[in-house]
Amino acid sequence: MRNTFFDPILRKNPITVQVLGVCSALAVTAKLNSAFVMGISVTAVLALSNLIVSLLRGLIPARVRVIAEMLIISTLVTAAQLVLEAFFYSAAKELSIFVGLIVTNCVILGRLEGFALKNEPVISFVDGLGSGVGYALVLMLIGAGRELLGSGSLLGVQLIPEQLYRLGYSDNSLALLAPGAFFLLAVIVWIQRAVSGADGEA
Amino acid sequence: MRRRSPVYTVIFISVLSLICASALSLLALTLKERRLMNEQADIQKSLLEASGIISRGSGLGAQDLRSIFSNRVELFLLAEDGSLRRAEGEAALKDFIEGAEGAAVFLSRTSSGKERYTIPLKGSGLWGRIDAFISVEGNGSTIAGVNFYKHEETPGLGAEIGSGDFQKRFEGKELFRDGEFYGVKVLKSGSSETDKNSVDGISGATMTGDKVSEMISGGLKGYDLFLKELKNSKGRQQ
Repeated sequence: MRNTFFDPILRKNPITVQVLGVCSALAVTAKLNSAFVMGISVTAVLALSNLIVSLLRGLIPARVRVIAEMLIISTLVTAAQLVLEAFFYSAAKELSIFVGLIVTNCVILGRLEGFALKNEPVISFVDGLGSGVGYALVLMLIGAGRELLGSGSLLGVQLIPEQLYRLGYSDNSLALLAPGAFFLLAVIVWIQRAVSGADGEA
Repeated sequence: MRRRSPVYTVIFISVLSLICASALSLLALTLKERRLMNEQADIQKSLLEASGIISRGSGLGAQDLRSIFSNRVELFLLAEDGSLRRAEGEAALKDFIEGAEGAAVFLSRTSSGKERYTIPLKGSGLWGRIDAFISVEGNGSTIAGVNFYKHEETPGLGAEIGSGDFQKRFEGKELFRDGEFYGVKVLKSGSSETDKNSVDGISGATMTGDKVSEMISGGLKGYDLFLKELKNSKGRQQ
């Protein structure tokens, strides 16, 4: 149970090790705030869809397996969108279409196919939670890096002092664009693999 | 029934769809009130920003927005002859949000007492609908501000029309040219000098820019009589 939760956070991280869900890691991480909201939403959808599919795994006909999974994922994603619009309107507006695009996040289908179809509900829920947290942490790491380098702030609070700008420092706007996210992601993958000794075949 | 039989498959998917659809409808209904309230606050905020009553990114809550809005903004409906008819506050605003048709004009006063007329625009963008406000000074031609508050343009490119940077470019531009209604054109980014009737576009979003130009000239077409009258009466008053 412990490993099911902690493995996907570090050793089998969906983004840095399995290289799944990279597009959303690039798209919503210009600011830490949106990375955080996206991470929470994906975690919720992932854990719940894992739970539901695991509960239904004895009932789902093999031939329409993926269709049934997509149906469950899209229902949960739409629900997430509705909840965000009701309680976190500005965050929902900022994320715009990317909340809906969680449907196409391959981390989710990957976990359903790879885990929930073969395992008990509780452990599947924990697996979804772990994968979601692992995904969210990388997203927030990239988000923090991009916001700090690109806007000089974190969570909208200006961190780099005015004096430094007057001395000639300027924000790196590349960090706000997709290539900047690629560089940061690559650095994170590099550091993690250097530390863990993994060679990418994991 | 065997899990492999086609009948089972059809029944399973139908039941699952039914459950999913009912759950979503129920959730949507429960949250409808809240979402409408948020949307209303967002529209009020956009309008107040466009007309320069509050600054962009002021972070005001729904309560503050509502009180500022009701103190400073009046809603009018435009008749065909270009005259205005007052509409009653909150309910009219709700109708407006829920899409009741009819040409609306929001009259607001800045803290220095200047009258501004804010007109809602609805147009189509590259991917989906764009909703915006354009605020015009009392002379009927000078733009006080714009706000493209709802759009589905490409993030990072066309979506930049929602940024304060782009919207600021409209301030001080003119809708009239040589006494005739003209509109404001969004030019290709960095292509040429802008004049009183044009603004610099966003690089990589020329199509969105064209759609915005179209939306402004098209959306204000129904208002040109009103704007013209405003422009002329301004001359008479002073």
